[in-house]
Amino acid sequence: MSKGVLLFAHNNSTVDYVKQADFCAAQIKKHLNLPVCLITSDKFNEDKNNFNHVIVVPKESTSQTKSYHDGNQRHKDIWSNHSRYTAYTLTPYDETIVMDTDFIVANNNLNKVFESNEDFLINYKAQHIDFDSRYTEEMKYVSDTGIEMCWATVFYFKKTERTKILFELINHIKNQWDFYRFKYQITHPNFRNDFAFAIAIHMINDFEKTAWPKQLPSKLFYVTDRDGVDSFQDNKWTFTFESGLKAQIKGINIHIMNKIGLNKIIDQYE
Amino acid sequence: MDESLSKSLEHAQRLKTFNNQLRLLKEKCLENNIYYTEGHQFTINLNLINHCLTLINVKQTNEAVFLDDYNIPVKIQDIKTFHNDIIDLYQQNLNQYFVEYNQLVKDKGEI
Repeated sequence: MSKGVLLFAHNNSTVDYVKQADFCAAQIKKHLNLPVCLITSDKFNEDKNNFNHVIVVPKESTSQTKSYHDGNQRHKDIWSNHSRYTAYTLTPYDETIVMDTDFIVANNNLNKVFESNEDFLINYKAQHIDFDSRYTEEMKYVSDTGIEMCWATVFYFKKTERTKILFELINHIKNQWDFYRFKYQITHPNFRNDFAFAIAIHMINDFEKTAWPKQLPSKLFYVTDRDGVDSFQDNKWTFTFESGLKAQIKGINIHIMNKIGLNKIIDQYE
Repeated sequence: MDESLSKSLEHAQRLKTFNNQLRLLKEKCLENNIYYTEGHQFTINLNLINHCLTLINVKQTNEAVFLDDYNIPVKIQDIKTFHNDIIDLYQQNLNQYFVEYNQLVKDKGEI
């Protein structure tokens, strides 16, 4: 059975996701020793990169925008995030870990997914690395009275009939987003993969909470786009939280939502 | 600002940073204690380790059914090997925790 990691990168004028993907791939190779496949609609450095496969797809046509924060700075730009459902058909691997390009691997815990009997694993919980952060409380459900949240930042799947249906459902939810966001009382108009995955999982389980899917063997730690990314050296990240508090992590996988801050660090690192 | 108040606030901030770093270390150790066998997930803790020992010593058996992290029954065919594997991983993570904890105490929350 072939194993690998799939990354999606669609640039806009604010964030170079392809550059982020290349850095992300370098960390994957270092810590997980897995091949990496990039799915992109943008140009990439064909001579020097950390990808084993690159699949070029047409540019998505979307008018969806998102505010990108770097601490207190704010940039509004196009947000192209609609192609995640294609992971099932595009992956060159039998067993695939899909991750956001701003999820940075720092240990080999995710390799344990390949020892599991499960066909799909995802995180239901996310933990800010400031344990007093209000964000952790806010992110447990898709809405005040809605279903449990799940995080499509990183997930694992192997090709089965059930995961095929799951990805088809995600595509269906994406296409009928206005209906589903109304049905699940999601106030934000933007399509978000996290919400679509949570809804699809709810639907595939006959609209109930069940034991499927189980959680990844790696907790989803994150910093938000309001937190500053200070440095990265010897697998050690330093952040300054919105509150002014600092934190340092080493050997912990981290979702760095401050994409602009992350890219500045990648520029220094190169 | 009064100098003593400023010092107190600085100290409080350092203490908060220290406690947060401590929490991160603990979480890292817990996560590293996840172990897979027979396709099932087990979080290694003293209960699991001692349960293995009890089965080996008291029941004199090398095969038994365990409950995984999701309370699903799993037959472990070779408890001795399972026990050796989990205790190795547990001790390795604990040693790492010990080293990093001492470094943190030495740094006193300075980042």
